[in-house]
Amino acid sequence: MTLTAADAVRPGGRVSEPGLAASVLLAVAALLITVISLCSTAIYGVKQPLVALAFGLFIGVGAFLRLRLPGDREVWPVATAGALAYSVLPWFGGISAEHAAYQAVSVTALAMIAGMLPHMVASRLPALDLVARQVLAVAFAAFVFRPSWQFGEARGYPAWELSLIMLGVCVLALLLDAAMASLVRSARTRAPFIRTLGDELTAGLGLNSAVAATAVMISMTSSAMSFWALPVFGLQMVLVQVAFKRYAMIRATYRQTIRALSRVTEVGGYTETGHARRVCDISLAVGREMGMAENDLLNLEYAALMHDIGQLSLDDPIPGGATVVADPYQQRQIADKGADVIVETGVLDEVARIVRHIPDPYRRPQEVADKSIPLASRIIRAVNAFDDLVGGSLEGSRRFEALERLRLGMVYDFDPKVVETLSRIVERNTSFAM
Amino acid sequence: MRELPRAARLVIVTVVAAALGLSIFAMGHVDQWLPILVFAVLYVLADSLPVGPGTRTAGLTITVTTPVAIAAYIVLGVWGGVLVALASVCDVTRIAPVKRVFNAGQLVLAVAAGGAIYSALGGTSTLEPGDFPKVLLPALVSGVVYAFINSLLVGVVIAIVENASSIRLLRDILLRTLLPGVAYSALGMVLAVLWTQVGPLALAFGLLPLFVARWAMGQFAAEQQAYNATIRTLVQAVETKDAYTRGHSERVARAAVLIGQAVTMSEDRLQALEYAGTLHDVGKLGVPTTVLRKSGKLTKDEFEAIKLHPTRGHDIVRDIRFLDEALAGIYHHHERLDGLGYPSGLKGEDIPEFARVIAVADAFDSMTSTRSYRSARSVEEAIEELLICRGTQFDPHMVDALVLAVGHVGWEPAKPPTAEELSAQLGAPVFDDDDPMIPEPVDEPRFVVGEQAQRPTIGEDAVTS
Repeated sequence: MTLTAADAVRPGGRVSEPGLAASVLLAVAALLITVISLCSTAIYGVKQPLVALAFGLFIGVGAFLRLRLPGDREVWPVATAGALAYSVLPWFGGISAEHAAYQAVSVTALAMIAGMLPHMVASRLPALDLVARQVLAVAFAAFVFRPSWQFGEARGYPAWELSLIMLGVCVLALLLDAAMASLVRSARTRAPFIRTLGDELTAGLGLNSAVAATAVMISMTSSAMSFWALPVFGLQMVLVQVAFKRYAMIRATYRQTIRALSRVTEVGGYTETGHARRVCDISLAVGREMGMAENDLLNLEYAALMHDIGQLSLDDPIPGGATVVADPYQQRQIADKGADVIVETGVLDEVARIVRHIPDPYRRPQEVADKSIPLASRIIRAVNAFDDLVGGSLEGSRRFEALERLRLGMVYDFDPKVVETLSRIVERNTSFAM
Repeated sequence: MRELPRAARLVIVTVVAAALGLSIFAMGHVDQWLPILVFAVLYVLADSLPVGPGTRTAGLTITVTTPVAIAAYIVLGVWGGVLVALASVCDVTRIAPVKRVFNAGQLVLAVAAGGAIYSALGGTSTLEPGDFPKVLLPALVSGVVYAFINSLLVGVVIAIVENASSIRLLRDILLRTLLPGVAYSALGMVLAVLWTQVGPLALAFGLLPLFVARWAMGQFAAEQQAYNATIRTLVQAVETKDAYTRGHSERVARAAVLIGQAVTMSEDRLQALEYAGTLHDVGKLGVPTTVLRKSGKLTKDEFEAIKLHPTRGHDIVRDIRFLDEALAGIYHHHERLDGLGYPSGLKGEDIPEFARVIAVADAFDSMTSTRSYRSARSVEEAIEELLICRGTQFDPHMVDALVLAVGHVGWEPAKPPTAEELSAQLGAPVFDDDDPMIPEPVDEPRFVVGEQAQRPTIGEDAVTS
């Protein structure tokens, strides 16, 4: 039986997806709101069905054109903009838009499902929480804006003030979406919520500000232009999406390439098969749980993948590539050579710094912990030692022996906090795997 | 301005004079100055915001000011629009005053033409719900006219300065007129509608998505540069195992791109080809250093180990999804046109195009580099050898393309390794299977039967027979 590194770290993944509870919770809430909305719309009838159809088409196409941003975030910027626009729509072609919040939610939910269908047929399922989050965020905007529009409170404002109110509602809805996304992510990766929220807000800032502005513009301009505004903004959002798609693709390629090149030391017989990837996956799990920010995690990932690249300068491979058995001088040499190579790229200075500090003990005799050693270095140092001792084995006793040895090294070698987190992760996962 | 050709100077002076005349005339025909001033300030602001790197990469250009100019003549009328265009002379980013003045001048003329067409076709500036869709046609036509005047005036000056052919000029103008004209007039129209509703806020709303898109393009370009630098360096780093082949991958990538350009590959494929060239020998890192640096003849087994490198390289990089076509290039770069190569023994057109390109580039760089057992051959000798193997080992088209390209732009061969570099490594590789002039080792009895066993060696005998 072959097990991938991911299984070794997260064998629980096959038993129950971590964070599933949060996704299910959101999905149930979204389903509830959708069913209520559909019933209510069915009872009171569809207002201005042509407008509903036009926006539904826009949202459906948007949901079909999905986009994956760095950090494994699926987004539907076109659909989101269209759905928010429909929720805060004041007029359409000079006539007051009379649809209730229920209708806005119904149109959004149905259109998104229709847009997903082709992908579902090709068995490319979107994440459960994505659809739920979208529906809930749109429901928020609709239930905040539509009643005050229908019952006249919002009608007294001049257009520019109204547009700012609409913008505010859209921004709040998007923030709500970010909060829900970080909740799911935090549950799945066991990273602190406040950290994932920060990551989510930074990652979505650019695209979401475009989505909010476009939503308001669609709403305002279709007041005068009726159907003619939709295709213009549809095309503009597609342009925005293409720009982000290219960026996301090069980021993905970058990661895949570093991951691929990390195998060079394995093929050369310097390290054991899968060592770099295992160290990377476990280090990431530790880093996440210790609350590292996404940018720092990326550097950690690259450093973990390339931490043995300096071994290529050795004439004779160390037995099994285990740096834990190499003498300290040799360990330092490998780290320095590796860091020198990485510095050469000119764009990975932080990664080089991390690699250079891997052989450093977290504190020296009679001194307090060395603050200048990056957390990432301390993590890789411990995880590397762990993997050298375990060698990807899933055998429980070997894992616990390895952890025991790390614990013995906590006085100087390994950061106790890192070892503690690592132990937690290893123990949690063996309880599933054994 | 003095270094500009006479004709260019003439065009510039005419454009600027006409624009000045129009502007002075316009000043007498506007009564409301405040909206013009606000528009002008926002236009200059939008124009002056820094353009990130790479916003012009791969044909996707995002201009934020064109929709604003079109919205200006729709909302403010032709004369108001002309004055906004005139204000673009305050643009702080364009350093050269001549460029700045000419640019404002051609903008004034384009806006005047667009605005005149818009109102002539019945376009209004009120943009009430009842005006739609009948103002859309004037807006589209005027946008196309605007884009036409704009690209015509700029194109003519550039064509004169760069001495470009009139066909290229015409093609450029057409490319920049139709589609961009339609797209920008649509954006200009929605900006104008928004302006009539919420005033100056419209530009804040309208420009935000465009800036975000431009920002993303900038991020893309920066990331791509970082990526290129990273793989180049990492591959170089692992090449340090052998002083003789240092820089080989980069030069092969360069030669491969030269060939690709000569056979007119698209920009995207050239990029992929460059990656394939850079990574083609990545599997050699899997060959034990002891074998790579072995002094003395290689045994058949050791040669078999070396022969595994395309497969190993493929194994390493196959998870890089976007490499796609480049993967096949890496895997098959030691195939021969006559089917006697490895690892699959493919023949002729069955060999992927990238592999045929890299095979030629690889052999060429190998021959023009110093090896421990021989000094570098001259470019002429290497080309002669390529021509001899043309059709048997190498794709004739690719050989011709390389010969053509090298004749055109020249070739800077590898520098021989320095004494220090050589003393840093004890043994040196004696065998280079990229070099078509070196026979493969046969000093051990072969256990291969069938066609493989009778295969001619790659050396001189095969060439002369």
